[in-house]
Amino acid sequence: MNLKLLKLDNKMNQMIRIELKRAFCNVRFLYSILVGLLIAGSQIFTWVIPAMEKADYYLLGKGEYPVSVFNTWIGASGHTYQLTLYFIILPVISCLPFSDSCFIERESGYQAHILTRVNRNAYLFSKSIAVYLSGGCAVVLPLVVNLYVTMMAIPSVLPEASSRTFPIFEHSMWSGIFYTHPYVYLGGYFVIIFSYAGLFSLFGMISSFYVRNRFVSLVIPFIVYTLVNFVLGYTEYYKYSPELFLRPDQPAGAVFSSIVMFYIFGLLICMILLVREGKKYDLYV
Amino acid sequence: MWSSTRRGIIKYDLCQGLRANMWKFLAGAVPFFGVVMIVQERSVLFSTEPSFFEYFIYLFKGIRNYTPVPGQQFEVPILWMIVQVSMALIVYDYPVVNLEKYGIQTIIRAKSRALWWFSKCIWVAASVALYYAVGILIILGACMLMGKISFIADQEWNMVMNELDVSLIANKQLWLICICIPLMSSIALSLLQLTGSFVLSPVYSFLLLLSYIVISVYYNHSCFMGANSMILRNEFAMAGGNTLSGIVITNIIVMCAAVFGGYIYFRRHDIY
Amino acid sequence: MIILKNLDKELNGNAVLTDINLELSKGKVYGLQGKNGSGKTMLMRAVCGLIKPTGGYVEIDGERLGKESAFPESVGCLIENPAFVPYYSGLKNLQILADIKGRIDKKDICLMMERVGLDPGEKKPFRKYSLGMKQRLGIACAFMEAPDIILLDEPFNALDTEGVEMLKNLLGEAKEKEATIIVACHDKEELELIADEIFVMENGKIMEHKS
Repeated sequence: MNLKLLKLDNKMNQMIRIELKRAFCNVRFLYSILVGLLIAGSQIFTWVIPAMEKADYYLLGKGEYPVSVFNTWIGASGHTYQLTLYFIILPVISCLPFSDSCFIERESGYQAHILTRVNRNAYLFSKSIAVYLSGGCAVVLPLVVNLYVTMMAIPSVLPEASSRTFPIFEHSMWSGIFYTHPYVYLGGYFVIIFSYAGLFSLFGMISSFYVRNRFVSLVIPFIVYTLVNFVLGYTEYYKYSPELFLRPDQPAGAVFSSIVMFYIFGLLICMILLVREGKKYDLYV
Repeated sequence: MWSSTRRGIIKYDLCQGLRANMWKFLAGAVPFFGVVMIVQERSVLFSTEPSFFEYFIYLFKGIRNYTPVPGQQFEVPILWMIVQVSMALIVYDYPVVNLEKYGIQTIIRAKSRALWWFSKCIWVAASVALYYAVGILIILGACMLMGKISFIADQEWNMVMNELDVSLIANKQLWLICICIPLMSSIALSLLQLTGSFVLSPVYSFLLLLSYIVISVYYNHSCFMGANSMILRNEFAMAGGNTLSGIVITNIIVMCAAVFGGYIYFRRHDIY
Repeated sequence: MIILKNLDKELNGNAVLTDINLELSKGKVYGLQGKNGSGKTMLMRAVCGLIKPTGGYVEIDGERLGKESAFPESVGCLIENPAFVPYYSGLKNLQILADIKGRIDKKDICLMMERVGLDPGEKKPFRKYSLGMKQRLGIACAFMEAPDIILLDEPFNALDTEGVEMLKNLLGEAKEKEATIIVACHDKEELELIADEIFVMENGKIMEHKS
């Protein structure tokens, strides 16, 4: 057994543990969750609680279909501002917890202490994992909390396409799954949102290698995200805008293959830039 | 009339602040280029070239009052939103970063917290005005390229594309609703953002401002002045819409509250 | 004359300055000595007007800071690390700051830069300066407008022997011009050479006064 390799693995594991702890046990992670919870929580008060009162309407002949979790939670409430707002500011929420940590460490000189103890690749790799996971969690957790609270208040009535009260249509992605196993649909969508949120926060971290101001690095993913939405919004390719396809209510109908393709493309770009950064020898502010 | 120090600190902020953020003005010009392309593309349906106002009305028209109906999507008008986002990004972090990094040297030379703060407020107003000036120049340039610089709004164009009957609006009022009111509203929002960036932090202030703007689009209420610049929400576009005087008064109140509230906070703020 | 009367400062529940009473006259160099975290930099910030005292006051030439004026009329300081716009050259950085008051011109700035051992014609941006060069630029910034109050926090950091001599000469000249100079320094011997009076600080209090 190669003891040197073992030592390196131990260092890598240790670095990952340290970075994960720093990313999650940090007040900014809490603040970003709070921002998400404020938005998701306000939707509970403005739509879910009033919907509870309408839960019996169907029995009284007042509604065409029973109120359900799957058309009341935030991810299905395209008519509310909360869903729109959440997915407008999603990249900023994902970058808040830990994206600028690399920048702060480089500026303060702390990076020098780390790089004298572990190689740059191990540092970047562990940092990327921590940034990715914290960014993804910061975005998904408030949505999960909203879903959970809605589940406690509203029955999980199976969606029915003919009722026209559910946001997913025949042409939408995974519509079959939504109308048969809606929780599986939601689970799948959470994975997509988590993946993209992680990607945005990773992108924020990478942009901090090239900017001189940490606040700018926090909004670069947001700027790109908004610009892409703006440009695509005026073309026939609007459904490929992340601001639209990341929404569980699929206002423009998502395409799974393009979601995966864009994700892989984005991840590849991040990895190339990270490898490039890892090859640098000089630590120069 | 003004002491050299006052002139000096204001000149410092105007020169350094605008120069440091020049790339943001250039990047923020995207919506103006966007509106030029969109309006030009749609003009093929009409017999005349669009005038100067068609571009601005299209940019700032926004949406009429929104009534939430399950099944109907709530959408924030993209073009209008991008303009607000661009201005939020221009103001974003310059004052805080300036104070944190080299602010000590400038503030002790200014010798007054009030002067430093008001100089930053002037910088915000100047930045927003410059942003609009860039937009106006781009649109004037587009009009020139198309061979027609006209300041008379086309009724047919606006009825079809902007859902606005301009025959009911005097030319002077058009200048007000297309340029002055959006400019004033933007300055008010930016000053709010400036104050928020010191009380909270630039990124949270930015988030708060965006949230406030989206909520203002959703609720048409006097408490939410974020959508005051939307032309389709004012009295000329809809019955019971926001009056011009009401918008101006709201903007002035918000500006004063932001400037003086920020000054009260900054007066006691330790710089270290 | 600078008077600090019963000056207290609390930050996040911790007392960083406690009952500071000082009278500092013109034309003298005052030294602040003490361990890290003893309150030397905080005291300088209080004199500069950068922090609001929790108790007591700072009076400069009869005007109370925070009441009659927010900052001293004429002050030059080097507090903690010298911070300038990273993408401008040294000269450009000093010019921008000098333009605020408009009391000195480019010629004066160039002369000061040469005095501190920097080349005013150097086009290198500040971020590429060595630590010693950054420190020299910070010193030039503190002295360039011939202020009445000069505050220097660890000014000898990163300076070579020539730099130290240069700084001592500048201090001597400023003293002759009746400026009040406060220098915080770890190096006891250096401080004893330059200061007329030394205050030893510990835990935010003045423990000893040496003439």
